Amino acid sequence: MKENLKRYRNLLLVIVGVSLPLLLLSVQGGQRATVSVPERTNMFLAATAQNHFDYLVGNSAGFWNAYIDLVHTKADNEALRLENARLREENTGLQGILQENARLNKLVGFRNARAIFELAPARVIAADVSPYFRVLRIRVEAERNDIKPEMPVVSAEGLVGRVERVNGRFCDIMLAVDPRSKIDILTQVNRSRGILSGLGDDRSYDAKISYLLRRDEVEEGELVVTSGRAGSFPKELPVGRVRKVNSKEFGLYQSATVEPIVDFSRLEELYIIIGEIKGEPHADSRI
Amino acid sequence: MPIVVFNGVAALLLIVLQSNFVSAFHITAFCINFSVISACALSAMNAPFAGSVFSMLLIGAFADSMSSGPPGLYHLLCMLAYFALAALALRVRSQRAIFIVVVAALTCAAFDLLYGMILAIIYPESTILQAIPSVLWRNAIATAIFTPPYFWLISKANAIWLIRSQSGLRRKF
Repeated sequence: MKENLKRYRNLLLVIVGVSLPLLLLSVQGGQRATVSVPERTNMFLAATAQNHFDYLVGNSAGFWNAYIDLVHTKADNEALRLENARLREENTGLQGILQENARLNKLVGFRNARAIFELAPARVIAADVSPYFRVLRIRVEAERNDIKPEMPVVSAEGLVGRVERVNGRFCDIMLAVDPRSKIDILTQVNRSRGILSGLGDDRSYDAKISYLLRRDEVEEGELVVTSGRAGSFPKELPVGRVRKVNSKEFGLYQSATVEPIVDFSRLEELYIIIGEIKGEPHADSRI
Repeated sequence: MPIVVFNGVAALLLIVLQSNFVSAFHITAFCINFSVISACALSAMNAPFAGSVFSMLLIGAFADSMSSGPPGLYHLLCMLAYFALAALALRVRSQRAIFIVVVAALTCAAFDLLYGMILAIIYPESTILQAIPSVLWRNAIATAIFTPPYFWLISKANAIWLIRSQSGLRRKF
């Protein structure tokens, strides 16, 4: 028996080495949203290590990024000066529209129906090790047990993505530009409806809108927002701007390339939308 | 055996550190496949097979918990990469740096190709298939570049350990 075990030891090791990951693959049936006990332990250990290293790496990155920012300051200043002039001009026009809008709202008794959301602040600690996905690992600032997969994630600029899996204070976030992500969107001005999906490009975070009706007018630079019709995303969250329209001469649909409004490479703080606040919201947790 | 421990610790640390660096330094996607480099190191340095299998099981499980997609898939590919490299090391006994670098790059490319194709089958509506060519060459080159420093680190740590253990033995007798 001992002799046999010695003879087949290497073969046994190969079988163990292959069957253990296969077992994990079959236990969860390829689903990441449901986290099994061994995976939870693994994820907790990995996330704790990533969390501790984040302080170390974050500080060194801070110095480097500060230097890079300094290099680009002159060009940025010039661009901001021009943008400021344009915005001042736009603002003057909008003041008049706002006054008119308030007057009209008063006339028709319109109630401000903009939703107020309960948010859970979080911080990015690491990125995914797989080259094909655009997933970030985050640490939720305060301990809470109401965070679930599929909840929308936003930053101050706009939509970031959705929660993919949760383990205590650590969550994996599938970015809106992940190749698996599908988001129902509208173009803000023309209200053309389409599906936004990530391109998985290794040099940029661009995404693509497909199923835009060919007869719909879509303009370059137009803002793209969530439609709020399918999935868990609230309505009118800014997603990106149309960079290029790929219109066709025949067929039902056209497509467009979108530049995300959120700079995913510089994401640090973000918020998970837990739900809408009913009644009077708290001052520190709403948008 | 110490080589298995050094390799395991170094690979785990580098995988975690890289995931932090990628997000802190605004890199679009992951580049260096340390699981493949550590599999290369274990097979090229003739590390004990049993220890290497357990080391790769640990590294694979750790990397898998940091990757999205079906759980266990990344882990399985790490194990397959190690077994393929161990089989190659039995037939080709070359310690030349260029050979090891080329093998690491090719293994990384094969790993990413297989991974991408399986993912494309699992997520048929995703755009993963289009991303495979660019991911392949970029990751293979990055992995090839980082293979020599990794080997140097592991072999130095191993050499220091051997010198210390030998001097300890001399003192004993």
